[in-house]
Amino acid sequence: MKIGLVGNPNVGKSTIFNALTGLHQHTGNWPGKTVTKASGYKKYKGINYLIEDLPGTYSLMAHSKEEEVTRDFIYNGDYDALIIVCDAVCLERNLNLVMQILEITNKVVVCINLMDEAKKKKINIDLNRLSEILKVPVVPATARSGKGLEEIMENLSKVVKNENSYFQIKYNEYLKEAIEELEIFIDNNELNKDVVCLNLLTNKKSTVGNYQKLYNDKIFLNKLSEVKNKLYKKGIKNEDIETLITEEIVAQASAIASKVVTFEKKDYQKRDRLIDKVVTHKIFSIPIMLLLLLFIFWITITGANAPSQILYDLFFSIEDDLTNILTYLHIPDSVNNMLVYGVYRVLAWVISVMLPPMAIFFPLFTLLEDLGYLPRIAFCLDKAFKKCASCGKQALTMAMGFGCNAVGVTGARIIDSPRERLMAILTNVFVPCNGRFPLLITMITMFLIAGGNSFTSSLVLTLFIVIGIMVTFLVTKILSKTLLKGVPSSFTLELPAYRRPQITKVIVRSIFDRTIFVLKRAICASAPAGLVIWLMANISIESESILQICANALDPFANLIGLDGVILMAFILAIPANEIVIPIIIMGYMSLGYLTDMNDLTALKDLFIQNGWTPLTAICVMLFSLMHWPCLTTLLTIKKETGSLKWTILAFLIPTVVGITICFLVTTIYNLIF
Amino acid sequence: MKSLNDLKLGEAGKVIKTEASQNIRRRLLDIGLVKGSIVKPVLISPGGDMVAYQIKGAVVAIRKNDTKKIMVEEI
Repeated sequence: MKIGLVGNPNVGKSTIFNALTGLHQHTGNWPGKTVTKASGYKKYKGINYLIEDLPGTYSLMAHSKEEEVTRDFIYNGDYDALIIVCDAVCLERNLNLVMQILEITNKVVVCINLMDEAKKKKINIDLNRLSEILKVPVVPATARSGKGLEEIMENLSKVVKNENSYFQIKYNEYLKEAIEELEIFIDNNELNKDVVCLNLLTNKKSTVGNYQKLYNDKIFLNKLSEVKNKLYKKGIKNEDIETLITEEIVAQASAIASKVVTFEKKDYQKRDRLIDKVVTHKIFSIPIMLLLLLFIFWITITGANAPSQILYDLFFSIEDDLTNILTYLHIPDSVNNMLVYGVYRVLAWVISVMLPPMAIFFPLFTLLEDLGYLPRIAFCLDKAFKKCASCGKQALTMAMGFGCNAVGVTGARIIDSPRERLMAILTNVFVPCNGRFPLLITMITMFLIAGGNSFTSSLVLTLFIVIGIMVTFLVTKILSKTLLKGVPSSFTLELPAYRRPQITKVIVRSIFDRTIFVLKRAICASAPAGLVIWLMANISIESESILQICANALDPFANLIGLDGVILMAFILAIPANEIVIPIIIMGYMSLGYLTDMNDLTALKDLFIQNGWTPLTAICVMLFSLMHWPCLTTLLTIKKETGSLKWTILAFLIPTVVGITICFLVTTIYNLIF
Repeated sequence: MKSLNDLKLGEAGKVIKTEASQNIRRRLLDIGLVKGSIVKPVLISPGGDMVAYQIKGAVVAIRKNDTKKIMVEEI
């Protein structure tokens, strides 16, 4: 049994999906979180259901790429039933989509989600009445706490057996007449001829399925222009037909809503509007945003300090035991050394330094997402983006980039205008993804802030993020004047109601789904990189190891931009995953013979200093980490999303050129001063 | 009858006519901003370029230059 999960954006489809399938699609309180299809299984009463979580859409008259996914799914009819998820808080708007779908099929369960929020706002919905009107089951749900899921499945198992039928929308006389004229072209076994006729009329080519060939049929084309002419004479222009159809649907949705929804409290949005007044304040909005970021970083850095040290001590305390065990097992000394001093130490470092900050940062950021604050940022920053001929939604893709740039690139589908989407894709890498965060934090705490004052450290980190944002604006602006010329397009941005996040769930999920994921990636990518480094260090040409040769070859250029050969090589070798830049640097230095006693975290600093690091090196490593080529995953995603090698190459070149230029300038200025 | 842009915070209007450009028209239809709908401006962006409206129970922000040609009657 194949089931489609559809609904307006941000009504909790993914939450329902997760609850049903036991999977962990990432959720958040903002429209457009899901941009690709996800699927999972649910067994209910002995029957296996394949459930597909589709991107949210307001209507079937698709507008953006991600909505086309959903529209095509529904029109193709390759499913046994649909679950339409609605937001109980704004049911009226949601009903538009419900009615458009009911026009096509009646194998539908309407799920009214967020009943708890509606209850808080004293919004009452007469579910029985709604079910009577729509002639399909209507199930109340609060997906976050698992309420209503059983009923969804129970009703689903019934509707899949439904006799095919549909909901008749009453169109006005003009449209009715048009439908009647076009009807003769439609097969009799078609369930609802109205829909096909109207789709033909509005030239929605991909939605008419088998009837596409009609557009090559002279008789049909004559009839079509005749119908259109008739409408035109009645004052309905071609481009107004779609509007007219929607007006009919909206009007009927309103009528239904007025029958089933009652508001006990007139000003149920008062609290949200009050919060909005503060966070989108003319003067305070930007400071609030930066303070929030600073606050999150501060908690992250402060909180991560102690656990990092504890983990490191723990790993180090068993290092000798490990050596002893390997010796006992008669492992040759050379292999023993490589495993313990090479692999084990690097892993110990990766885990103790990366795990604590991530385990704190991700849940905090997720909380912000769940709360519904991110769309407000987009709202506040729209003016600035507009000046760069882009739109506020780019801020949302940047927020996604904080997690993973590949996700940010895919997420750019929420931007309608292809030009603006490309700009968002090309600049997404200027937001540090979670693979690069640990590097930034380590550099700051190790080199820039003496004594590790966590407040100053977070201030510096915020500064770097702001630099990234500034560069994003600058590059977007330049792109809009050169390669991607154009004017800002139109868009609408929904500001969802604030929702109380489920704190424990957020913490558990973000640790399991994101933190462990990143850590695994770091460890997995480190191992082969470690092997490469080891080989390079141990294969010699004319008594010089390949590692030494490469490092020496890169040195002159690397020095110009404040780095050294090993660091630059680390960045190159880390193309598969940014997480491993520092591990590779450590491995590189260690295999060059600078073995050091790694008894605590400061030992790492000593290792770097022995290799000639200065504060300038740390600054340039940070800047270069912030601005260099995207990782392989991101590049492949860009290739997939843009479908063009040209843009993929540019996505590689732009940040690289920017990074090299800025690092070069910083180095030159630094050397002039000191 | 006046433009949606001239509606002040706290006022409410009923849409009479939408003459938006093609590329925003579809979006406006999606959010239910059609003839007969009630709209209420509730929030202005810090830059002053966007206004958030309460429409059909949801809050949706639209740029001012996209709503110039939406005519409403104050209610």
